[in-house]
Amino acid sequence: MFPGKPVFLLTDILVFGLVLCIVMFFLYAMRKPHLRQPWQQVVRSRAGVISMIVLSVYVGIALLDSVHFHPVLENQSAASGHVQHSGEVISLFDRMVSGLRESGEKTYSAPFAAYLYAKETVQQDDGTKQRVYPRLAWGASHLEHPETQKTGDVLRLGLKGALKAVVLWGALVLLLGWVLSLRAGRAFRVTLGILFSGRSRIPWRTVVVTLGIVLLVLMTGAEWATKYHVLGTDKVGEDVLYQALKSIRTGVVIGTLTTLLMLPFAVLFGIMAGYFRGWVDDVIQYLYTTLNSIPGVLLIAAAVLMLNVYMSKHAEQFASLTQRADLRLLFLCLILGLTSWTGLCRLLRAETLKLREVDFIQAATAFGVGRVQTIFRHILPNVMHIVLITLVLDFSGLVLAEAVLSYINIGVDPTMNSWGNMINSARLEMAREPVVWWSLAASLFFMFTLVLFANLFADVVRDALDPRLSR
Amino acid sequence: MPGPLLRVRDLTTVFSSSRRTITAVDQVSFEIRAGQTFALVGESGSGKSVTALSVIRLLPEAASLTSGSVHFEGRDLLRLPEREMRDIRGSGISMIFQEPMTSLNPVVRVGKQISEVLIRHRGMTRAQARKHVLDLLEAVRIPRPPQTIDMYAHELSGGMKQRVMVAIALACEPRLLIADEPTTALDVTIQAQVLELINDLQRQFGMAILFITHDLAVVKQVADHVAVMKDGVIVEQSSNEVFFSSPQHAYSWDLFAALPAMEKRGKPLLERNGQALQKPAVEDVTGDSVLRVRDLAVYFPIRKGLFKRTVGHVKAVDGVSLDIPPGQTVALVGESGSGKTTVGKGILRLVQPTLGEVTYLGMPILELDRSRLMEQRANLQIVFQDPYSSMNPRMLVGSIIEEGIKALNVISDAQARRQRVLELLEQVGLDRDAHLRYPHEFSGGQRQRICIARALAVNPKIIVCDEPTSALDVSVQAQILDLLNHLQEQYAISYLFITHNMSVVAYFADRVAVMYQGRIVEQGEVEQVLTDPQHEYTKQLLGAVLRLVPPLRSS
Amino acid sequence: MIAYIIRRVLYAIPILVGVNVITFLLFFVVNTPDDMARMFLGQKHVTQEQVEDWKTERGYHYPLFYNMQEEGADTIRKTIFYNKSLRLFIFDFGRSDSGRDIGFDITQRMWPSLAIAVPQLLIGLLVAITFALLIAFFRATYIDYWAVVICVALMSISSLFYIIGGQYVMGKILRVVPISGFETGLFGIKFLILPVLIGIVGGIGSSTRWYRTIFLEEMNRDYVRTARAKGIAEQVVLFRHVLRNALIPILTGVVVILPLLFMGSLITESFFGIPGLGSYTIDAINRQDFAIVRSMVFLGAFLYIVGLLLTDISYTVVDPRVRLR
Repeated sequence: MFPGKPVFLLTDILVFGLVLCIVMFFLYAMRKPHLRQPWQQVVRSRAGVISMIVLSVYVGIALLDSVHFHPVLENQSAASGHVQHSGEVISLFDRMVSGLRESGEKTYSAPFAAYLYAKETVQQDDGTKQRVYPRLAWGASHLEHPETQKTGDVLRLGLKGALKAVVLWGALVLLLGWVLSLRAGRAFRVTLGILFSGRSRIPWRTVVVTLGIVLLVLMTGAEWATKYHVLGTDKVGEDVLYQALKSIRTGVVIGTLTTLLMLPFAVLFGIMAGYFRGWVDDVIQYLYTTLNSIPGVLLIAAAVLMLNVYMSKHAEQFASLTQRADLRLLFLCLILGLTSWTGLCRLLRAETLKLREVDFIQAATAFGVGRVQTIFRHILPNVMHIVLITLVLDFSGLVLAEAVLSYINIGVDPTMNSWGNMINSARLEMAREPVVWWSLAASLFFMFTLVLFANLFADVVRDALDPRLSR
Repeated sequence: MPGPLLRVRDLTTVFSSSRRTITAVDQVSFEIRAGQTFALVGESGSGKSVTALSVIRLLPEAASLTSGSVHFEGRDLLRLPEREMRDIRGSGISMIFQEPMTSLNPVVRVGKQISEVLIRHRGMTRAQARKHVLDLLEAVRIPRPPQTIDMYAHELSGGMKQRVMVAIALACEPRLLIADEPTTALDVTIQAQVLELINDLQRQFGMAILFITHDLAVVKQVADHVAVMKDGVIVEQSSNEVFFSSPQHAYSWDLFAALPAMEKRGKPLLERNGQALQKPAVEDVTGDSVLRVRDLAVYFPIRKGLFKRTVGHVKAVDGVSLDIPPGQTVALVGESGSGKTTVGKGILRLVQPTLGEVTYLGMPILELDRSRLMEQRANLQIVFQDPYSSMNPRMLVGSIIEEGIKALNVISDAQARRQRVLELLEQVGLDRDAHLRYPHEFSGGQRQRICIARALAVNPKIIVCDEPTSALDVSVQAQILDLLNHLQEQYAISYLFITHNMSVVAYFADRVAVMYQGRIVEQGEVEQVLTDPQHEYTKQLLGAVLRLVPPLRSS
Repeated sequence: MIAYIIRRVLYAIPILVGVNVITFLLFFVVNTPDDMARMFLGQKHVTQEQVEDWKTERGYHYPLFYNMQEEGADTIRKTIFYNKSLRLFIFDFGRSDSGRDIGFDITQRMWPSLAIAVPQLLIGLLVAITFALLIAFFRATYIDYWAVVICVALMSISSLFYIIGGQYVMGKILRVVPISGFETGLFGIKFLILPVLIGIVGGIGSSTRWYRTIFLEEMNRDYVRTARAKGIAEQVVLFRHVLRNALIPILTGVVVILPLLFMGSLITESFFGIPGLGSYTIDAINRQDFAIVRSMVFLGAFLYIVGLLLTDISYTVVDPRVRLR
């Protein structure tokens, strides 16, 4: 049963719309050999499968975090008949990690700490007051003597997580082996042999090993997170791991929706400019040169400043803080898209200019095929690879851009979890003595992992879709 | 008698990618003596170029030499360290490549590109080298060497660039010159000049030449010794005289049979004992031509100055008049840049003509509005030169052929349309199941068949064939020419056959029009024009064509 | 050539007009000057009187396009559009919302920006080209493979990390250079070392990889084979033939950003406390000083167009095949 009253944020709808598009494209591409072939090549490369597995973890979290609802209020009288909902909006992911979300401390605490990072004046049992590091309210609160017990407990929990991971991994490998042997009509043992020999066309051994590592990290992390603040807490005592995980959605949304929003304009204008030439071309070229000539950061800054003014004037229009932050996120995607569509538009214009002189377009003209049909049947399918390459190539740049923009306060809403906001609030902590490093490290590490594997994936996709562009 | 200059034994070269390995050269052995010209002939993919690159060890990274030996002046080149091999390249063995357009560095002056070899191998100073380069430019007959020496490659014509390449290759007077299709990219008149130049310089320097080509007429002209390659193997080696009078191998015979020539007119090229072709009887009522072209002109504006005003025109086509009789083939010949392709596209209004009139059965094509033009599109069709770019790679062959039928609404019933596509595929000699495949699954010749089927689909009366066989091997060209002949016989289609190949004209066309700088300088019956040319340019053109009378097969 | 340049300059005018219109719409139509005033003065307890005062002080009290209360030319001149947008065309930036002379600030602050940006660009270019050449020389070996992997990893790291990490390691742990600050004169160099170094390290991954692709593409060309057939050593082929051709796209790609170097880098300058145009802009954004942001948008667009023109001209200089008409 759904745990509350659903809320559909605009970005949620768009994200799931995008997922739907991708699934439909996938089903369509499977039937067309020339569309299927490059993706087969992606799946057959080692870098391709590794990055796909890691990225799917990120995307999975982002999707879970995109199902929002008002949770059912607890401890209400059963007699009242109808269920009451909280005014707060949370996501399915929040519900899954509710332990982390509700595990607030007073202020900073280091990773795996049992005590707060700052001294407090505490009244002792004998009535005297003393400056001590107080115990954490949640982190390691199950231990009676953290000094002696903690190491053992951390190890035990880690081992427990690892064990769970191994069991799950084993089950998955067996399942995979069973499915593969059914499909190939081979004996189960032979299939497992091929799987681990690394001789298969799809690099199954790499898949299995990556899966093992990912599971190990996830399961041990999850196990520790039930009792400790694995990555510590921040200034207001919020769990850093929770913040970093919540930031995934922001990064993924910006990385994908931006391109998605600008795509229709870029494709339409680019192809029109290249195909019709003449005054259409002049107008579109003028448009993108003008937009391009404004330095991107400044255009974003100007637009966001104006949005700030608008939002503070029309504060009453927004139902909740969440919705307001969501709208701002969407607006940021739009404005980022506005500054980045020119590149794709120019590429498509150039490619269309080349294509329209190619013989098969001339042949279509000789048959009297109409212009609109020519564009849809002959030009669009032949520039689609450029669109796809742009989609994956832009992703990592946009994730990095979000951090920088949020850092200079023209990014996402300050209340929204994002790596940029985390870095922004953590950078001053570097000056503290001793250094509070975990917030910064966590956000940079999560961002780095996503961007690195997105870059690797983009490379593989580009090589597969357009061999000309590389090597 | 001294040993051979170059002795190649059991040379094997393989290309390996992650998917598969291909043996491009398979146990090839041959010898070249000093001063001799050795021709390596074969169609595309036969491994002749790879053989040459193996000898000089300039193979691409994916290729590797797996066995064999290459002895040059007694030393095995394949066992030399790279450093010593570099001393041989450019001084002992030199090479000329096919594409003069891309083989020179675009941002280095040509003089420097030549003097580089002299400085490298002869240890000359810059000043000495420059003087020597001037002599070399003189030797390769480049006009005004003092100016040319400081030019960039793009400022030279194709023929001039190839002369520069020759100068680079011969700068250090090598004992062996490898010429890889040196004249294939050049016009026939330029080809004659470059061949003559190489021949003269060979005599002057006494070097041997490994001449790689697909053109038997060129082989006959230049070679002392001939080797025929097929699928990486040398199938026949003999002297020029023997090869051109009584070739030994069946494949050699096939090559000769596929050559179009005046003597083979009216008979299919490939079917042995084929019946004579029946030119369709002319029974059209409208007179003697289906298509009349009068004073056709296509100008492209030259824009200059501050406001891009049109200051003049490039007259790509400048007053062309033609008549195409029903069921006949009119050839439009000319060298590159003569405007012949623009004439074809202008007739179909794929480029908009500036002046003139085109009449199809009394209908003024150039004056029709969009919808009326649409109706006439079915009657005039086109087949392009490059079979790789003339089909949308994202469409099934079936839909490609169907597109015209659908767009022009020739057949409105979907079932009947599909039936028609299958018939067409059979007619052009392809399997019926080809309609469910994509263009990239077919070879060049098969693709050209699909293109013909596509044009044929709308029942045209005239097909403009724009160099339809220029990108194909001789044997495939023969198949396509035979197919076109059969279709003409069957449907009384007229062809406007645009080509630069004189022997195709001689074999295939009924009438011929010779184009030069946007104008037709001479036209008439093929036999008359080819045997008794009137215009100076036609004479020059025909004089440059290398003639080859194929040997007759004695049964 | 001259006709070409004149035509391009003329073409720049409608683009600048377009930029102007966009910024005008963004700053004055989407939100009215009243909104700005309230934003600046704080939302609460602001009387209309205070708002009017604020606007009059800064010249926002005029109507947008047409002043009906005035006569003659003043109907046009006493408008926001004339004063705040058209004036930009003669580089009259006016005063910032806090009353400073923007034009004067720009002339003062562009030098620190250049002091960081120019060495960063030049040294970065040199290092990236050197690395890319080395990688291209070892193409299709393990060196090539791992170099590309390192490049991808380097470009996956946020620029913020380079700055924060660099400051921490160099300034706080090693204590070799000051973390931030700026000084003119020779002693100022010690302040430049860290930002320049970090800028170079941050950009090295993507540029090296990009240049490597250009080099490899050039190395597959026919003229390289010709050069090898002459018996020239591989490194000579690389330097004399490949490098020259590859430099054309690299240099012309650099030329387009040359004018924009004046604008400085936003984050670098704010992190290191460099009093350049980048930190000027970022301060304006944080203070919500619209006049400065507007001026910087116009200046940036102008410099970009200059960059485009310079790019075209630089093509004719480095590539003998290109002639501008």
